[in-house]
Amino acid sequence: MTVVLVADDDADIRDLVAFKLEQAGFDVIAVEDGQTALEQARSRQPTLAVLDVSMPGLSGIDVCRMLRSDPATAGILIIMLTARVQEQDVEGGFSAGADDYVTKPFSPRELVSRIQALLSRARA
Amino acid sequence: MRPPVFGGRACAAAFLAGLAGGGALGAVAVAHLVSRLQSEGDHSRRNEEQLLARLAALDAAKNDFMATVSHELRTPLTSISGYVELLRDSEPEELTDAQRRMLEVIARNARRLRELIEDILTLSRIESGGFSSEPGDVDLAQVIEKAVVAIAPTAEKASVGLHCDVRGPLPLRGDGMQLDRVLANLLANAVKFTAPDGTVTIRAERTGEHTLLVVADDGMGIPAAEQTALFDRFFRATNAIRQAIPGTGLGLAICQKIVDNHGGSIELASTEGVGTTVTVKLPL
Repeated sequence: MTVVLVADDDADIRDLVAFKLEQAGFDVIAVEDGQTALEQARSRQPTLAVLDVSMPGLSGIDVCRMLRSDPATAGILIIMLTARVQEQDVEGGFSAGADDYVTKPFSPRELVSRIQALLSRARA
Repeated sequence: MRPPVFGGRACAAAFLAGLAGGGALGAVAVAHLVSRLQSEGDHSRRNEEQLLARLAALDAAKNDFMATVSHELRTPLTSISGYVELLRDSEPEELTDAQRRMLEVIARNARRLRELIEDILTLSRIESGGFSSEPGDVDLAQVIEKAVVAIAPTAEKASVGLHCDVRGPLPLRGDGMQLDRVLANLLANAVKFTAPDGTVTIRAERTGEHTLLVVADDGMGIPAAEQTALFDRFFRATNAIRQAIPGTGLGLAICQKIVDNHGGSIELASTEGVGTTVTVKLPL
């Protein structure tokens, strides 16, 4: 089963994403901050990580950059979740190495299709 | 910061609009600064520079505040619309028809809130910064084509015909993204307020020193008494409200601000039951 790491400090959104992804057949690791996300990514080696940009402590962008800079985790696919829509925020995410970007409010259904698209692109 | 007291249902929205710039709060802050400087009886250049710096700082603070507010509103909205989607995606036998209708209402209103947040943020950005980027070379014909392609599925679903008469290229100096927004808003309005089998006509051409854009529909029109208020924020025509046609009441205010930023003009002519024509003139 494909392992997906979900990191969001908002419990409702974390549960929402985890529920939808489990329903879609993924093995989900849900965490509430950047530091735990980083540790889980290193120890569990998920195929893909869904990272909220604004988390206290390590932000999603920090986590993304750190995962990319470590050869052991550099291959993890990364989707950023953000409530900010300014162009510079999106650019910031991509320059940190994110594969895709989803803005809040998002449709859980759409998030799943983006994840599936990313996975099939990566397999191709 | 304390919200000003308003009557009526637009209270919170009007408060946000005030924050969005050019509104009551901004004006009060400016008046306060000006009167304070004047009361000191000092009109030196140094003070003028300080005033400008304070205004710029105020503007930056307002933008920052708007970005934060919009972020804070989007997060709970994600949960509301996300969980409603999960419920609506559940098996047919899990919910009664009445429950499904209730969820439909929640979803529709969550969507409306989302549109309001986006429009208020857009208005705030446009009003404070003028151009979001340096104005560049834009071909209005391409802007129109893009907008027509984007609205086509909605028009088809509503059985509204789109007729295009664009003599391009139509080069001008401007902000492409903002002009995209003008076209998107005008076309969305025209399609939204036109009955099935009606037609929306988009015409654009160069006339002397201007580029002329006309978006005309043969839809429901706007009551004559309400036409002057149409560019006011949050104003919605009574016939649109009566027929429960969704909208934020900010679309035309956004269009007007963008056209103003480009040094152009926007006018609207409408007859109830006959149709509406919006004419935009942009300098080259």
